[in-house]
Amino acid sequence: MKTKYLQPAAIFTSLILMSGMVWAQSSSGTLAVRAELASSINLTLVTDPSGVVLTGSGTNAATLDFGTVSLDSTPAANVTQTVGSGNFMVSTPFDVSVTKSNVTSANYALSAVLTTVDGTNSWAIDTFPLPTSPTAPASLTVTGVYASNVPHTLHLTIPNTEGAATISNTIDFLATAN
Amino acid sequence: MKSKLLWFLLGIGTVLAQAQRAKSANRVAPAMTLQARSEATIASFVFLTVAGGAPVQNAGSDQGALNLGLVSNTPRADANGVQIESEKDSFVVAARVGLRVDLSNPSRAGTATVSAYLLSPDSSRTVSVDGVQLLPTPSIIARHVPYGAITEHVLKIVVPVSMPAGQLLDLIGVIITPN
Repeated sequence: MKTKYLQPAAIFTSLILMSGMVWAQSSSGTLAVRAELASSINLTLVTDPSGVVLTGSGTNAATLDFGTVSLDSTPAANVTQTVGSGNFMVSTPFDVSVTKSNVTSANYALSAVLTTVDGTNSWAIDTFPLPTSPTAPASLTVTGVYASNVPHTLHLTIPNTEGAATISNTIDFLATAN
Repeated sequence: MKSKLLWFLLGIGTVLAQAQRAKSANRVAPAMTLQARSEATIASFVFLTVAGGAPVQNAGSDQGALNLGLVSNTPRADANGVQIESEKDSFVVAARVGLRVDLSNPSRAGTATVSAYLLSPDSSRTVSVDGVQLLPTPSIIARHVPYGAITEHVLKIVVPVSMPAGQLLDLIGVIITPN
């Protein structure tokens, strides 16, 4: 008699288990992810160890402050002053770092241009006088090394005849992958 | 006389056997009902666009397409639900996508486990969902996803800067296992 009851019980249990297996059935699908990967290069301005501290160093929008300058006073730290004939020049080094991503390029070209006309003072980077936009930028190098802080020097020449004033301008840098 | 007795016993046996079969058939009937109920509770899922997330297109049941658009190593907080963060030798493209797991019998409560894997792994980049790096074999990305609820998941693709520009395509397989 026990056997007779055990058999239906076993069948019922196995059916319950079978139904549980169906309940646990997995479902699957696919998510297709697409993107268009574009090449890019990034330029950042960095404080040079021998230069004036840049506000915003490590970004592409930094500020360089020479401080108060005059023909007779001592310049701020890391600012070099040179007295010329009828003018004086203040200079300080700064670094430019250009990195490349997803592009095959051995080096880069770097150019710079003033955004605002300055009819009184002269601006130069390294040995290259800076024109004012929309004039074509001055070429600073055509063999820039990627991913390294390349030092450049900003020179500002002020005539002795200029009255006391705040001098400011903006320099646009343009890096182009070769 | 003996042969008559044998024929009588054989007849009795046949009747009992038929009755047993009929009983068995009666017992199997509820099992068929159980099986029918189970088939009505198979899980399915759908990919969704969440608020502020990347646009997801559905391409049929359990199939989705996510277009991240133009990406490059230029950091950006959010553009069409896609964020980009620069790292030393790579950049990370991140997007949020929605997932809803359903049951064909919505009255059934419960949760499911979500697993994902890469159908076409590319060793040059890594793909992760909710911080779990995807491999060619399934990895669990969520253990208790309630049925009917929309859950958000963060997809991240780490793209090395050395990788050449061009089309990126990652096929992510998703497996839903009812708990």
